[in-house]
Amino acid sequence: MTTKAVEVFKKEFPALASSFSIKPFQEKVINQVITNGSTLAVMPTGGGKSLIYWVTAKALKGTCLVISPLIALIDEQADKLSKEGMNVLAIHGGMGASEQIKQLKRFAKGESTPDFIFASPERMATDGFFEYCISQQSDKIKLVVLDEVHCISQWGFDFRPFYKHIPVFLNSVFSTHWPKILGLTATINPRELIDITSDFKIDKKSILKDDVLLRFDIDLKVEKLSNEEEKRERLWEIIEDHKDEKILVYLYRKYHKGGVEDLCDVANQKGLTALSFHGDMTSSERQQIISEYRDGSTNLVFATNAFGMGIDIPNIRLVIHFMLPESIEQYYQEIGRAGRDQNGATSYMLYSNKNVQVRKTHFIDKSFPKGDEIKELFKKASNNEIGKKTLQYFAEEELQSALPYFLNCNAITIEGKGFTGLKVFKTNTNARLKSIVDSSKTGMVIPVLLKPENFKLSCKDFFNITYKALVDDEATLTKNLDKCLIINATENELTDEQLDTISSETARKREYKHNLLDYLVYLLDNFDSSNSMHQEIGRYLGVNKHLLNKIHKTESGIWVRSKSEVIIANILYRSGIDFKYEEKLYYNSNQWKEPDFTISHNGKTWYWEHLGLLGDEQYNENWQEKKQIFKDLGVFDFVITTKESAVLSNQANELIKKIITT
Amino acid sequence: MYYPNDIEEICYEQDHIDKVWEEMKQIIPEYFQRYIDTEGGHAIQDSEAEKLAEKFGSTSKPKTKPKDVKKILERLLKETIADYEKERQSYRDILDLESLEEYKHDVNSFKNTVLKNQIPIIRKTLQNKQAKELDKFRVAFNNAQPGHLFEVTSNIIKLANEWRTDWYDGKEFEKIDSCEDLGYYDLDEEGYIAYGVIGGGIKSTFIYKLFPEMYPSRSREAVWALYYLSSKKKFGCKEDSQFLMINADEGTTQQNYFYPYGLFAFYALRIFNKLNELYAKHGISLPIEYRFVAVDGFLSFVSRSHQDEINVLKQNSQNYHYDY
Repeated sequence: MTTKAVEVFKKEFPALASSFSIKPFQEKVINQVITNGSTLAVMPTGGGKSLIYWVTAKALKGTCLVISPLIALIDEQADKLSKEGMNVLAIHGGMGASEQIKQLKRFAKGESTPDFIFASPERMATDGFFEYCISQQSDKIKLVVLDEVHCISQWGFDFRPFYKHIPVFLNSVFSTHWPKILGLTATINPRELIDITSDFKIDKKSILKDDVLLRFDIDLKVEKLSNEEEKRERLWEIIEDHKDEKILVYLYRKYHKGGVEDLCDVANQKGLTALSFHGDMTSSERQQIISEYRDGSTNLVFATNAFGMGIDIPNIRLVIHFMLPESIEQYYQEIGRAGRDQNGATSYMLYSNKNVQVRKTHFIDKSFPKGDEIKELFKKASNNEIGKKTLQYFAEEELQSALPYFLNCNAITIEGKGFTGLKVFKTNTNARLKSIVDSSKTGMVIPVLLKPENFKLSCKDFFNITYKALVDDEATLTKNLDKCLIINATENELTDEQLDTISSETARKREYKHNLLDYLVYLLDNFDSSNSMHQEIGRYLGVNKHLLNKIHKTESGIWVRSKSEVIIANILYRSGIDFKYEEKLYYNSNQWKEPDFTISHNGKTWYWEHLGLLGDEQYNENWQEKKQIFKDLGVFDFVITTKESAVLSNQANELIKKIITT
Repeated sequence: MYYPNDIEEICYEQDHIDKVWEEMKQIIPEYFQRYIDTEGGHAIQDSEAEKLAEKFGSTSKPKTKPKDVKKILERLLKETIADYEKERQSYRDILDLESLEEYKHDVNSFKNTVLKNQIPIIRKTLQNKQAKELDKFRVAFNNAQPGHLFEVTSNIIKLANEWRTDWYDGKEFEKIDSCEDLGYYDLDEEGYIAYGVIGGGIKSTFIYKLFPEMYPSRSREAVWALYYLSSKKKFGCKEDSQFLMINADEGTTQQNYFYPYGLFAFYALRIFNKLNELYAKHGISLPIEYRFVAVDGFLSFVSRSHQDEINVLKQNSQNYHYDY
């Protein structure tokens, strides 16, 4: 049966549809959003998340608003969608401010109808004009996509404070009538997943996890060593062994001994061609490195975790962790950079007890502001005065991580978003706006907001006067509007109670982060084999127990439990026979068995059981029970069995002949 | 012990020492097992992992594999020795008898260049401006007479060298079975202390960095560890545990920063003998040239495993300077 998902894919993306089919999980998510609404989909890195929202958006028609954490990701997607003939509006700092206003105005006035609008969570939280324009056409937005939604988790390693603001934006723009929400992520633990569903009003039943969330194709290796010297020795040995492959080495320090730049220099002195990559580099420098790495001019990159989301290089064969990540999620995301072309990869984790200690005391503990710092930061935001202030969020980096604490203890509230000065208009024919501008000598918005005539106006209404005048062409600008939050401090200084609240909040978060690290170290210390490590991670990520043993990939792309099953699946595939692996066969309304292979040929259905563990008592019992069910269902004559054998391929080929000729 | 008293007389009696040791002897294997299970405090135990699995919503408890105890202990030992060796050379270069002969001609330079900038423990303490509790140490250091600091340092180094040459005898050292026989009390005498600057902690660091086979490090952590290894008991002391310093006026408790080195070193030697026995059960023979490095690593672990409680006890205390 052709589902809506397949139908829309073929119709809207014909070029892609002619070269590949959408995967079953993609199809499932798309149909789920279309039919049931808001959904949270968890799938592996490189699993094809983008196509899910592309097709869903087109199926729902209207405009899709995509919230994406990185400019690189936005550009990549915008580019790909444009090539597919889609109308895309990507609003980010790479576009000039006047162009942004022009494009948003066109949207607000209904002059343009983009299929996709891309923006960052920070823009949603701080750009009042953006919000106003989206509000004007809110009924056209049918789908809101939250890409890399794990960034919202305040507990996670990728936490972005303003992801938390997205629900506030949605309430402001859509009131109670939110469009459908589609959250997409790769790696997140069940507890954090539940937090996200409640933030975005997503039914817990609408969490869909890909069956193949785990990357068994990456061969995990874990080595615990005594000190940095031993680690270094091992590092160079491993690099030497893999020198003809594309290698990515993760470190968490940019400078000094053992940092990204230092090890890169050492590598180059050793005659290797290496590059370093970290967050202090300009965007063009980073692009240059990525492009050299992609085209193979260099095969070795030393990087911090700035090398992450949004970088898609298919043939990285080896990822080495030279320092500990802070959680299983981070570890798994980072090794997920390898082998995205599905041709296999290796990952090494080199760590020592010292690394555990440094991670805790240096990286985690120091990431939380102390009592005096918190007081200073509060002063920075409020000048230790009660009342409204503007907060130029992007100019005050330190405040970005501290603001959530002030909000949580009600020391500060966010009244709205706007701009700082009113002396920006070239022309202005809007009487109300004119009187507002004329009422101020300096044009500073806070004193104007505090005037009695504006007292009853909410922040949003106040700034919307300007935004409306701009959209309606009643005003033009001499210079671009800046962006700020309007905050309201409720205290002159943080009270003891508020300080206590902040202190217990940081203590709780610190403990949680220690727990995440402890758990990762526990799994690493108990590392036994690559497959069992993947399985442990699967348990942690809440992967269904039944799926944990599907560890071998077949030529047709499905995952099976044993190498013998790979042989059978590959022979079936090469023979052009239509088959499903472990499809449910119901023997009453709510009970089923899963034959290994269900084969449909010439109008007949065959069930192929590979009895790989005969001899095991429990396995035998299960097989006897299953056999009886086949008999009860009257299909036993169409059951084929094979056993472990040195000539399994020959046997399978013979059996397939039987299927074809019957 | 209540500040500012010296420890009670009873603490020096061999009977008393043996009683305290009986307690420690029972407890040490428990900590040693935890030392292995948690890889020196760097990993969590199985039971904690199960709780965390539940907390994160995992579908089942994580699997464990049998531990290679020998490998773990060897790694811990190697790490402890590497940590110890990291800054050792500075002490060896500076605190040798020949250099002392030259320093005596310019004690000002000895204080303000050698001690202040080249001796790691002092340099770090002076540079740590963030830790307000070290302010008093900085003041005491600034006020100290250069000649006095030189004299005390020189006395310590000379005596340590003298004992090392005169009577230290490798394996035989481990057979010493009374505090009297060890005879380290001289190091607690006036000539070997510059109050507020070169106290028990810094003094023991000097000689520990020179001769770890003979002199243990009486660090803060080590004294806290003795408090826990002795099960916090009083053993007949009238006040509290001899390993504590309680300031009733401030309402704070700390490790006993006046704890005599002579007594401490004797407990440390017995702890070494016990550890030696425990390591041997796993096929490891502790290197005698790093005798007290192994002890220090273990005591540091014991103390760290009670870090939360220690933080509460010493809250608000401004008296860390006596540590040094």
